[in-house]
Parts: sequence; C-alpha cells; structure tokens
Amino acid sequence: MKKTLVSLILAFFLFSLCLTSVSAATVEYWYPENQPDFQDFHGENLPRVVDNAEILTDEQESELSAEVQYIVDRYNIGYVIFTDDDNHGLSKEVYSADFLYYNGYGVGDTYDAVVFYLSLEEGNRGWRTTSIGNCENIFNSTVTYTIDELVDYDIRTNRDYYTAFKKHIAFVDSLMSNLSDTPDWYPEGTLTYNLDREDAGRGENLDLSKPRVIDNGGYFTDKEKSELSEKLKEYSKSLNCDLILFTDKKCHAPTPYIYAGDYYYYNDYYKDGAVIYLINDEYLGGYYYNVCGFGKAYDKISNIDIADYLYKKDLKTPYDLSNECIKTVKYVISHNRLPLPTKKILLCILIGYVIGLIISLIYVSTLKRKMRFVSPVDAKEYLVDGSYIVHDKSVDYLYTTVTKVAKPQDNDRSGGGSSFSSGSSSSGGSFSSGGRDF
Amino acid sequence: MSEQPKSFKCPSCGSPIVFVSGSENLTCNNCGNAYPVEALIKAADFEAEESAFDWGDYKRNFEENKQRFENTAVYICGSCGAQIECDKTTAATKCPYCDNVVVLSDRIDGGLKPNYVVPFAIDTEAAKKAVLNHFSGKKLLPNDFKSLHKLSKITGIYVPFWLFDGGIDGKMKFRGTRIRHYSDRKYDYTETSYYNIYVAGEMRFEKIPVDGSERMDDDLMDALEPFDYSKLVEFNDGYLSGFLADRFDTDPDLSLPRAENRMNVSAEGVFRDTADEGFDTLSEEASALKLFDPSVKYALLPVYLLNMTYKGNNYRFAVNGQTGKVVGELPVSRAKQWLYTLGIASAIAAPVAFIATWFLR
Repeated sequence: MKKTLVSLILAFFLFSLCLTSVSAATVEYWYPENQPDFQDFHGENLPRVVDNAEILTDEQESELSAEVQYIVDRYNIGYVIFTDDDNHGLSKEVYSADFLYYNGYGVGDTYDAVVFYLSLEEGNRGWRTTSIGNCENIFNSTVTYTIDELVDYDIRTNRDYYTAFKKHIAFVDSLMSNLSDTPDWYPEGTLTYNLDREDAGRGENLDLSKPRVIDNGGYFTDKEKSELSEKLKEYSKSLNCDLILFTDKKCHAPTPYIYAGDYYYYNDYYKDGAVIYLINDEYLGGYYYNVCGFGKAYDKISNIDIADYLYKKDLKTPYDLSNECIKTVKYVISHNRLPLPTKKILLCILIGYVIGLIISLIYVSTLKRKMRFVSPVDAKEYLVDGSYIVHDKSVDYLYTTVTKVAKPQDNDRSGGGSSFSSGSSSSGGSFSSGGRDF
Repeated sequence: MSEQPKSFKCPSCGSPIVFVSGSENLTCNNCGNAYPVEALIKAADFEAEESAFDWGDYKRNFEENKQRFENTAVYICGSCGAQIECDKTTAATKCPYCDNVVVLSDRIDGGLKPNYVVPFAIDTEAAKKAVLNHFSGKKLLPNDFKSLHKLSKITGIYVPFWLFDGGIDGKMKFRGTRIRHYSDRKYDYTETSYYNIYVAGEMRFEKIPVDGSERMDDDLMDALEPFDYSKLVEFNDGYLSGFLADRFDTDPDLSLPRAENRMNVSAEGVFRDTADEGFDTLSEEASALKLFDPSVKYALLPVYLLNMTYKGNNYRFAVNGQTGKVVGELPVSRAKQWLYTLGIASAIAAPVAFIATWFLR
C-alpha cells in the first residue's frame, strides 16, 4: 500500500514536471518547430489583439478586439494588433510577418493580412505595419508613412499605446472604406488594390473629344476648367498624346498615383499620354499632386520628379498649380527633361560670361604683351662657360614639424524617421513593412 | 671751332664711298668699285691711331675728355666745303648739302676710339622689311597707325655701348623644406623638415652691353640683344662710312651698375640652382655678392632707328642692325581691345552656358 502511494505521488510529481516543461517550451509556441499543429491560433477564432507585452488592460483589449474584428468581417482581410517585448532574435519586420504566416491570419487565395506590431524589446523598441498578400499593395510606403505620422506622438511621447491602436484601427477602416467604395468607371467587382494594369493606355486612337478636365474635387471655376481644357487639347494634339487633368476629394486606390492612373486606363484614353492629378484625402493626411504617364510619356516622365519641381515654385492655388503642371508635362515630353528655372538660366549665362571674360582677358593680355618689348634682366647669356666655381656648399638639417588634421567622421544617423522595406518571412512568404523606432 | 672731318673717296673716281652692310667692303656709288676696308685705310693715309679706348686712361683724363664735348662743334664737309654743325655726341654724319658721309675723327680719337665694332649685316631695305613684319600680325594695332609708317626715315646709326667684363664672387643662404604626407584612420599628417643651405662660389661674365648714349633709351637698347659677338671686329673707321654714328656721353662708371645688376641677378639664379636638391620649397634668406675685376671696352653696335608720331605720342622703334630683331612699343587700339574682349567672351559664354545647364539641371 505504502509502495503504491509513493509510486503515485512520484508519478504525479513527474507528470507536473512534464507539464511545466511543456509550458516553458511555449514561449514561441506558434513556431512550427515548437508546435507542429497550431492548435491555439489556427482556426476560425483568431485573436485580434495579442498583447504579449501586457500593456493593455482587459477592457482595452476587449474593446480593441471588437473593433478589429469589425474590420475583418466588413472588408474580408486579416487584421490583428500584436505587442511583444521579445523579438526572439529576429527583426521586427520578420517577426511580425512570421506572426501572420504561422498563425494563419491570411484571408483568401492571396492570403491577405496586416498586423500592427508594437515591439517593447529593450534596445529595440518600435512599431511596424506589416502586410502580406494583397495587403502589401494597400499598405505601401505612402500609407505606412501616413500611419507613422498618425501614431508617432501617442507612442513616442505620451506612451499612450491604447490611443495609438485606436487611431490605427480608425485609419484602416477609412482606408478600406475608400478602397471598397469604388467609382462606377472601375470594372465591376474590382478590388483596387488587386489590379495589375499595363503601363500603356487601352485606347487605340487619340480622341480629343474625350474630357480633358475631370474635376471631381471641385477645385476649378467653369472659366478655369475651360482654359485648362483648351490648353490640354492643344498640347495633346501637338504631342500626339492624351493629356488630361483629374481631381478628386477621395482616393479609392492605395495611392493617388494608382487612382489617377486607373481613371486614365479604365476610361480608355490613348496608349500614350499622361494624367495630371490633384487629390486630397483625409486618410492621406493632405493634398497630393503629380503626373502618371502611359506609353511613350511613361518613359519620359517616370525618371523626373515633376512634383518636386512644382513644389519649389510655391504655387498657391489649384489652378496655378495645374496650369504650371500642364506646361511642365508638355516640356518634359518634348525635351526629356525639366525646364530650367529663369534664375538658373541667368546663372548659367553669368557663369558662361565670367569664364568667357576670364579667357578673353587672358588672351587680350597676351596680345598686348606682343605690343611691348621686354628687356633682359639677367646676364646669363654672357656667363663665361666653365667659369662657375663652387667654393663651398652645405646643407644643414634644422628641425621637423608635424601637423595633423582630423578626418571627417560619418555622422550618426538620427533615429525616428520612417523606414519601409519588403522581404521574406521565415516561412518564405513575402511581406512589406513600414514603421519607426523609438 | 671748325675742323676737318674724315671722308672716304673712291680711289678710282673720287666719289664718296660707303660701307656695304653684310660685307667687308666699301663700295663706290658712282663707279661701283668695291674695296676692302683695310686696303682703303692704308691708301687713304689716315692719321696714326692713338691707343684704343682704355678705361684707366679715360678715367685719368676724364676731366679733359669731358671738356672736349661740352659744346657743339662746326665741321667743314670734305666734299662740298659746307659747314656742318653737330652736337657733342655725333661721331659720323651726313652733309645736308651733298649727302656726303663724314666721320668726325676727333670724336673717335684721343683715347675715345672704340675698341670694337659690329658692322651692319642688314641693309636699309631689310630693316624696313623687318619693321613691316613687326607691325604685321599685331591684332591690336590701330589700322591708321600702319598707314602712318614713314619707313623712308629709317636711319642706320652706330650706337655707342660699353661692354663690361667682370666676375661675381659671393655666397648665399637659403631655407629649404621637404614635405611628407601620410595618414591613419583618424588623421591626415603633414611632416615638414627644414634645412639651411649655403652656397659660395664665383663666376665670370664678359661683354655685357650697356648703351653709352643718354639719348638712347636703355631698355630699348637692352631689348635689341643679343648681338653676335663672333662678328665683333677691331674698330675701323671704314665701317662707319654710310651710317651715322654717335659717341658715348655716359660715363662707364655710371653704366657699370646696370651691368653689375644683371650679373647679380644671374649669379643668384646660378647659386639657387646649385642649392636646389629637390626641395619642395626654397627661399632666399641672405646674399652677399661682390663684383670683382671689372673691365670695360667701348664698342659701336649697329642699330636702325625709326621715330613715328601717332595721336600726339612718339613711338621709337629700333632694329638690330646685325640680326634684324625689331623692338619698340606699339600703340594699342582701344576699340579693337574691347572688340576682342567682348567678342571672345561672348563666343565662349554660349557653349559654357549650355554645358552649365546640364550640370544645374
């Protein structure tokens, strides 16, 4: 009896030890090598807030989970908020991507998902918005930068992570709402983040009767619209390219560039052309303008930063900006380069004349020298050969000095700026990730 | 005071006879006969020469010699008997009445006879051509200046020169540096080693010319150098015939510093070359140079002179009568100067501005 009791106690003790060791082994429990089948996370009831860093209260976690789940259900994408204080030796980008892949957050054939990951690992703190599948098209560098600006103050300065998560959720909701609510000219059933269109327009001929100014944003008066339209028509004819101006107050594609390009493409403009766009959307955090080229115009425009050129001109109104942009695009397509500002042209002329004057003055001074005569100052021609005798010559060393100049060192890189990268997770799946460290 | 100047006459026809540039002969313009200079000298029965110029004698007799030339003198032309008044430095001239060339013997006698002469090697026509060549190709020369040239007024004249010999004995001290550059990860280093270099030596110069005529511009005469001294001959009156000649009016003591200065400049250059053993910098710190054993000879060197007046300014040109080298300051056309300056600047500005647009894009 005693023996049996001892055996049972011992067995129980051993069993408890095993349980403990299993528990201890579940720190990275969702990695395949630690758990071949993903019992906890894989499946239908994926947690929407995983707070390994334990920075949220139960109530906050519950509230945020419900909001994230709403987005998942409404937009049919995987979405989760994840915190941890240990990246397990991986970069924040790879660790967060692994989290998505190994826990089965991807939705649909293309495995679409996004995670907002907050790392509080000592010496490696920061946040990342990491996406996989089609979500990589949505959460591009422009969008992740906008998110970074949105949450930076709350995380970095206030350490108010709950508010930052709330803002992130609201942003994703707004973004996905825009992407889902597509205009009529998009093909039916289009997911604007799932398009792969060509770099040439679909139109076979240049049709000048098609609208030149599409002012969905309502930025222009009728007179301005008419003037801009005439100009665009004239330039389109002379360049044999379709030039159009597109404005809107909402961006129904991942970026304004894609959105404006979609308009040009799905409205069958000519294969060669360009769309100048002015788009203002809250979720973007401001006013975007640039040019999207197609066909031969794409080759000429793609390597030139027209937006930066226009930014330096400090144009105040949409009309002035559009007018200048149209003229610039025409110049770029004609000359393969940006026009030089007047100041720079004058500077080039000044440089030319300064160099020209220097050379001409040197030349004229040599001509003037020929007008004069030079008298010899020495008598070397009258030195008697062999008459030079050196009586004494000595070279005495005195002293040596050494001066040193410090070499310029590389400046330390300042932290706090956004970074964006693409890569492969531990599972081999691709990801895109943007965020900041603090 | 009227004195009988020397003139040369053709033994054949008795006409005035002149020295022909580039030859050793005196040629009669009338009958065309040519005679070696030495032969005519013997035949003409000139006065026995006194000793050639001797500086020591000259210095000893300086006051007496100086008085001889304080006033102008009047001479009787040996050909037509006209009275010729000359200034104190003329040694040979032409009679303004019969164009006869006369050599004023007493100006070249009495211890003042030149030791040497370099005969004219080019004639007047060649000198004129040389001047024309000198004008051509001068882009800034005013167009109307070229048309002003009165080359018929070009005059061949023997200019008196002092030919100085002498030595320079001296020493110089230099400071030299050798520089080495190297670097490590943090710094760039410059190592400079300093040295004192001493050089002492001597050298000799001979026949440094300094013109002995006050009315000749020294710089102009210096610029005519070099003369080919291989053609330097013992002085002979015969070479003067056909040309004007001047007598010195500048004391050799006063001319010596000019020659000495040139010797010093050359000596400094020679010492510097000796001191330079591949130093990165070499600067002179001290020098002590001394002239020793100076001597001087008196020579007449051939020069063609041309004076021109343009817009109120006088322009003098000199031609080396041996080599044909032309020296002289030419007037500069302001209009042409501006035209060239702005024209070239504009021509260069256009392509440079175009290239600059590529870099500033």
